[in-house]
Amino acid sequence: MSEAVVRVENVTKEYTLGRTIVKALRGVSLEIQRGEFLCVAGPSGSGKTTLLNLIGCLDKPTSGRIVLEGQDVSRLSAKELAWVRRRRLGFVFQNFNLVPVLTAYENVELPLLLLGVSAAERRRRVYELLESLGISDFAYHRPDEMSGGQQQRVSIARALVTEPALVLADEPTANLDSETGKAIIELMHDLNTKRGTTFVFSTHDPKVMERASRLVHIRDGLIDHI
Amino acid sequence: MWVFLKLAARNLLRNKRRSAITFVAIGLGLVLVLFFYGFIQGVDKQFTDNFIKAQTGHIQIHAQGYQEKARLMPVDIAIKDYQSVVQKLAELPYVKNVFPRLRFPVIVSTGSESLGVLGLGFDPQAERDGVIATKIAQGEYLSGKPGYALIGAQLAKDLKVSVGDLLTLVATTPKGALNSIDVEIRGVFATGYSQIDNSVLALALPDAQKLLRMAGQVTEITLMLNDADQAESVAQAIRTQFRNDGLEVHTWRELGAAIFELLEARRQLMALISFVVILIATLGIVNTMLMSVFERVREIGTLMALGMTPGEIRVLFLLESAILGAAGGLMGVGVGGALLKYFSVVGITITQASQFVNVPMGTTFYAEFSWGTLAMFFVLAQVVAVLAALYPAYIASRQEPVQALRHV
Ligand SMILES: Nc1ncnc2c1ncn2[C@@H]1O[C@H](COP(=O)(O)OP(=O)(O)O)[C@@H](O)[C@H]1O
Ligand SMILES: [Mg+2]
Repeated sequence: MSEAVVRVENVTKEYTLGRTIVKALRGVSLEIQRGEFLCVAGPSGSGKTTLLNLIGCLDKPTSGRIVLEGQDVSRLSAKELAWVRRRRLGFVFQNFNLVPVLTAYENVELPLLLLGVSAAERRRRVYELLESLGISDFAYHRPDEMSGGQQQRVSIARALVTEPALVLADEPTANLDSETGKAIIELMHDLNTKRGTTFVFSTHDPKVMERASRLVHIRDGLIDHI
Repeated sequence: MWVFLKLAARNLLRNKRRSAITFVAIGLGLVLVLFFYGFIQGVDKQFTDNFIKAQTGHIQIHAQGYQEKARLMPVDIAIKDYQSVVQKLAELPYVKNVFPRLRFPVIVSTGSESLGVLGLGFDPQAERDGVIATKIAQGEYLSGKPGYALIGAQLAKDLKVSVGDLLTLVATTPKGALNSIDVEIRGVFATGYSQIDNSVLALALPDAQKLLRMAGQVTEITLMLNDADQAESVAQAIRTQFRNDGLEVHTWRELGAAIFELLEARRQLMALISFVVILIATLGIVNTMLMSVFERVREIGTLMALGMTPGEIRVLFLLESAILGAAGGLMGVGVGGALLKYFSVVGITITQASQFVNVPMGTTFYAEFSWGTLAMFFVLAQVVAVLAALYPAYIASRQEPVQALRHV
């Protein structure tokens, strides 16, 4: 049996808001296998974002462990976490979060520059992805010259360009109309099957959940075991 | 590194207005500081040069004990056999001119008017490029023929005399006897220095020596060197060479100590003002950089999610400021340098300057242009820009990715 891409082991996460403590996750365990197209579903405020942030090494758990490709990442420093994200993770955001001053091409190229990939290799990979995501016409457009769906495609390309072990997409369709949202999920699904990229995405939209290879329900910071 | 440079440059271009304001602030601040610095430097140099030329020379040699009583112009504390001393001095390295002088109190009478003034016996040939020789307003400079004198313009007015008039000079010899000679006014000088024009009567050394019965003697030997900075070492050499001759040697720094302290105080005031200007510019940069950080919190979160380390985020913002510093620095050094260059050639004329400051000074001031100064201030702009960005860059790097991404 192959090692899971991610093991979440009895993780809790608490936020302090002034004097009150918000328990966003209250003991979550989860294993994600290579090649999965996993959906974390749940109502607003249930803890989806918190869970994805922890898996994405953007934050540290209050207790419990997160093991990414065999490495415990729960106690790493900010700098070490940054390197883990750079090398092994990709992100797709609800509001796209493209760098506004960079063109589509440059946005997709950015993670490769951070990794020190050669110029020729960067060109090859960026164009290949822009092509296969159907946005090569927009290579030299800035984000504000693109529609939401186009921006989200660019951000998917940016997440995949480093061939990460895992792509995290927190409500990737929430800011898109249902038609475009559907197309984006189809695209991600396509990339999952064709390239074998492991995806974890969250949603509260039943139509989006349908496409998942596995569905995890979360409610009040706990996984629903049905 | 290129990617950071590109991001920094793009971000600067994104908010053109704000970048322009910072750029102009750095540039203008630099122009201001640079201009004042170059100008004060020029004025001080001119001031010093004039002071040396008109008052002290680079080095003055007197008989032992003279300087202490210099205000009284004691003719009994004199250098004997001055010609041999002059000859030896002229052979020293770095010495350009040697001016033997005899200073003495003298009463000038026209028959109707009588005034006590400052007598100066000098070598007209040796001092043909001096302040008096070059500022003859009426008549002519001394030719070497005995029996002629030059007189300050204001003094001539006070005595109601002009070129061609006869004067009777009365002075006290070192032995205490009174002696007198008659001279004809050959020229009137207007140097612009009030204390010279008001009260100096100059005549050839042999005439002065005759009047004072001081053949072969002078009260002062003034040296001009190739460079003012050599004064100390040359003075030292003279002290050693003439240690048994009962002479005292002073440099221009010692002779003008009070005035140079004044200049130094003004330079310090200048430094303080510059510091305040720089401080204001710095605070301006800090402020705009902080604004820029707070506007881009979510973008910082995104870059962190892509794997930029806090250190790299810091570099990003430091680079933005460094680029502005370089651009503003170039502009400031360019404009400031051009201004300095212009005013180093053309000068600024300030009327009434010699009344304004009670020391000899021309009335047209020239700025001091030097590449070294430009380079120094360019580097200063860089340092200030980067220092000013340290805190904002730190704030940027301290963002938590999760909070930053939630930011709207
Ligand atoms: N940074 C935070 N500070 C305080 N409370 C937070 C923070 N992030 C999330 N929460 C709280 O934690 C709970 C879970 O939030 P979140 O993970 O964003 O849920 P979801 O993404 O499913 O809507 C909510 O009650 C939310 O208010
Ligand atoms: Mg959420």
